[in-house]
Amino acid sequence: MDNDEGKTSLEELDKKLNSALSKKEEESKKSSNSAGPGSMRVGVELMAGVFVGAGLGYFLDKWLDTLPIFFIIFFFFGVAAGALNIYKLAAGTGGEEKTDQNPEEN
Amino acid sequence: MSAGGGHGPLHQFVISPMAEMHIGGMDVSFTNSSLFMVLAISLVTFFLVGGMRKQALVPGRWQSMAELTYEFIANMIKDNVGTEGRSYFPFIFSLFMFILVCNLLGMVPYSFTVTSHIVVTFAFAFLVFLGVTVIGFVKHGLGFFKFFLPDGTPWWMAPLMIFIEVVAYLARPISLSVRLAANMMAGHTMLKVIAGFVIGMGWALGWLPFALLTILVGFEIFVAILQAYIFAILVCVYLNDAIHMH
Repeated sequence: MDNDEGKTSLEELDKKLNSALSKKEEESKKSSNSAGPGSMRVGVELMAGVFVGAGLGYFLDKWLDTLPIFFIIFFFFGVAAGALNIYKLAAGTGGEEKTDQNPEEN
Repeated sequence: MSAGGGHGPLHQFVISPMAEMHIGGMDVSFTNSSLFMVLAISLVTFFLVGGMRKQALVPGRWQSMAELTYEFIANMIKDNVGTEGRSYFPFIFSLFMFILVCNLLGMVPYSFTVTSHIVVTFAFAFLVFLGVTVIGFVKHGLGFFKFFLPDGTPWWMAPLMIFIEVVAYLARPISLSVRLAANMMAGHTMLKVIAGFVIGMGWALGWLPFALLTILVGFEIFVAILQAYIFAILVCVYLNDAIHMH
């Protein structure tokens, strides 16, 4: 009897420890993702997106001899890409699943 | 910190060759930038090897500092990438330590800030970008292309989303390198300009910018550490994307 009880209490302890550990891990993951240091990150992200988009469009145009068309289209792709990168930063990388789950939990 | 001698606040970023070398028509001179890179590597090596020299079970002050940096990066990788990221620890640790020491060396008066040059930071960022892309394709094969199409995208949005995601992916090395270089360069230029005010405003009012300068030096040391941390953590995030695909 004593032995059995010892076993079950140990198992319970194991369960508790595991759940506490996984909770802690989740929390640390969340805090490290959401605590985006500095507003400088956001500005640079937008700038890089626009730069890369416009640059890509410009070289495509140079290659195909259609100067303003791809430059303009890819400029807007660049803006969207910059906004997407900022969204990813703000939401944490795994974004959508987490934000969907949270309201149910609360 | 003298801004005098007719030098502008940007003069600190000039690269000057110390030993001229030309190999096959290419200029590979040993410059002041190279000197500070060598200095940074020697300092990191000295710090870690010297700290771990005794390998005591109960660490002394120096050893525990070395162990703290190790654990800091090890935990960062564990939190952001998970256990699969452990094999990339040596790379991320070396990258972090090198950038950190380069940033901090730049805070020494009359020194040169290696990381204020976008050539240097872009070389790092592009290497990381290439490496992460290769890792993604090795781990997932052609399935890595699914990375550019988020789950649940309606089919009629797919062509648009792929272009946007590809541009967003290509923007990573640019934002990674520009963030570090711009932060370092802006900070050091600002310090020089305000140091110029101290001289220019003379004995009567010079103490005002001097007080500001003192605060800003502290702030710049904080930025130096923070930017090295951000660079390392973003490398971890990108690595996580490549290994787990979100």
